[in-house]
Amino acid sequence: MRLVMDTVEEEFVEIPIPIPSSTSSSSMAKRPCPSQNPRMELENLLYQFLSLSDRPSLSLDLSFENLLQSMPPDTDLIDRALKMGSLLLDAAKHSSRKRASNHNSIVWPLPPDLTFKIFSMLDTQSLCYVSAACSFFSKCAKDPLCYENLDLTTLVPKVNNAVVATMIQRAGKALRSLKLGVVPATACSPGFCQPMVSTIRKAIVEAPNFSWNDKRSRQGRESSVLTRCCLSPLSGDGGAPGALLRKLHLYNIERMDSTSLCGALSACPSLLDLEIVGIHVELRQTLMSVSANCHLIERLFFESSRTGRDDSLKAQTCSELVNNCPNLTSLSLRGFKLHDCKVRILVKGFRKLKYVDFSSSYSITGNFLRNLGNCNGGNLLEVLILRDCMHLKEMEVIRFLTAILAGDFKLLMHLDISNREGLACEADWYHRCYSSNNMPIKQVLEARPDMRLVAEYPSEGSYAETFDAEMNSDISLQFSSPTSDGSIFMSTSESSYNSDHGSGNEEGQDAVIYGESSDEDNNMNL
Amino acid sequence: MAEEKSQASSSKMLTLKASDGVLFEVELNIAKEMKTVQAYIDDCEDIETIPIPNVLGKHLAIVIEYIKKTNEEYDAEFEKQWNMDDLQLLLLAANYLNISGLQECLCKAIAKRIENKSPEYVRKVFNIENDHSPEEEAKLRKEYKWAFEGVDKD
Repeated sequence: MRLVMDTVEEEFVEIPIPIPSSTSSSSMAKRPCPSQNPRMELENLLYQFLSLSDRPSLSLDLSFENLLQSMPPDTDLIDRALKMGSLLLDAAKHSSRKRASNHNSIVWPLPPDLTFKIFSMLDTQSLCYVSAACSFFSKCAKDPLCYENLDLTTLVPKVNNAVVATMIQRAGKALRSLKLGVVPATACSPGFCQPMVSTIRKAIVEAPNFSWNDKRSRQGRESSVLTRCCLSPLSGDGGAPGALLRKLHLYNIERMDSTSLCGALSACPSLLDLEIVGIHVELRQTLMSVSANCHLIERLFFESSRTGRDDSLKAQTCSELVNNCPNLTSLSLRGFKLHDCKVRILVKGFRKLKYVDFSSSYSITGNFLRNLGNCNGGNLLEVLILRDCMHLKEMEVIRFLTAILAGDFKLLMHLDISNREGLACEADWYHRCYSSNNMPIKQVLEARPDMRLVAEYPSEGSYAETFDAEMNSDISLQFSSPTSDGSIFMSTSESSYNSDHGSGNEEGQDAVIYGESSDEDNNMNL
Repeated sequence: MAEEKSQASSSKMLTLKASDGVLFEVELNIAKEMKTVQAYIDDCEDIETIPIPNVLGKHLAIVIEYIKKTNEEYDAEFEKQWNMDDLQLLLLAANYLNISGLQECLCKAIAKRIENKSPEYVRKVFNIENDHSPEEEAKLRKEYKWAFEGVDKD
């Protein structure tokens, strides 16, 4: 076929060559004769061109090359070929997509509402994958039902404010649960990794399977890309997304502060379950915000980002919390400085409290447990975890176990009083009691076979040298929160232990500096 | 006649007719689990044969079996026997017959099979084709960039 081109008017004059009708493998039907309509002419041209694809000996490149040779050197034939080729390709791709869409609509038997239902059962990440599968899924995946439970936690910081905002917006008032932040991978299996002292029931402990205190995983990690305003979409749109939110779990969002967290809480009056791990917020302020805004709350899990140094809790905060949040059944405050008198307000005051975890707390001696079992607050307790509480006294634990033997705490199913440093001796908390020989553990297990009692202590004397070491020298202590792999805090040489520190009945503040280690000291393992 | 589950009034048997003409005799209280059938009965108490035009015999059989046997254990094993096509058709059946427990079970089963799988895998499983335009595709990749890691290697 030879084309004569008029470069000014760009008209093609065609000299048709008969197409052999033996191209029977072609799926193209015979077309009627062209009419005078220019559009029809173009369509026929296209048709004839595309029919060429059936020719076994087609060598388009050769023909094009020959044509090019026969043209004057300044011809724009190549550009035209590129342009036309591209236009044709786009048209074909578009039609191919339409065909794929049609195919999908035939092949996918479920109506949109059933499709939403399936997608709503997928986690947020999987939702993204199915969206990418085809356009129908992408549309279905935008239904608010699919965003009821948002889990945007990742192993490394990847989610930014824009992603959070988009998802929350899509959920709108369907939003019920939001998990956000950086959750480091853990070597431990979920729950506690520990030998069982006595176990009949499955573990019922609710701790997340990692801890902010796991410094080894924190090292080298980029700071979260989420900023302090990442939760502001909860207040957006008239507060619709936050209004019915039931569950909010936040992990290791570096830039979040008390103000922004409290702002978010003020948008969530229906909150039932709040979990905060590794966020730089003050305990007192946060609890005040919960008191003020989240009156329906049932579960509060709060793990400090600065173990042992947040001493902000005041008695009044506890009273307010007890008065304003009567539905609380599960309370975990880990890694804070808690005094017995304040803790007592909490444990006695919450009438429905069943689950208590004060692991890694400073200052509490166990005094708050006295006379608890036979009155309102203590009677309903099912789980009590006081793991690695530095100042927990052996004497108080013995007293507590004796109360159990006497018939108190009838509903207690799980008790954990383990401590990697052993329990504190009566006179001087600095001296440790390493064995459980003094404690009536066997008797309790016999009297209460349904109870699970965890009491792990290091064997006698294994840390004796360490503790007898000079106070001024570097002392290495293994300090871990219950489920981490065991991270190390080392005190600096200026730190000292104040032996008055242990008393639980005073509001007075101690001068104890329990220094946080510098990172390079971290790699020692005991 | 198995009378274990019947009370006095429900020893009555009902016939359900599938779309391909297969007939099933079921006890009234089994049939009542299908809210659609219940509606038929409510409308006309004497009815004996109820047409189920949307459901094939083989699927109706499975549905009836499910209603009879459903419990936690059964549900867990139930979904493993069926391929994706059957799951979808069973879901349509359960939807039409308005059996919420079965619907829930099947939705979960389908969701479980595509959880944490790449878009390519999802397409393969459902026999669907990618009809995203390049612009849409780019937009999606950008929006979901954070998610595209840690997918099952399939």
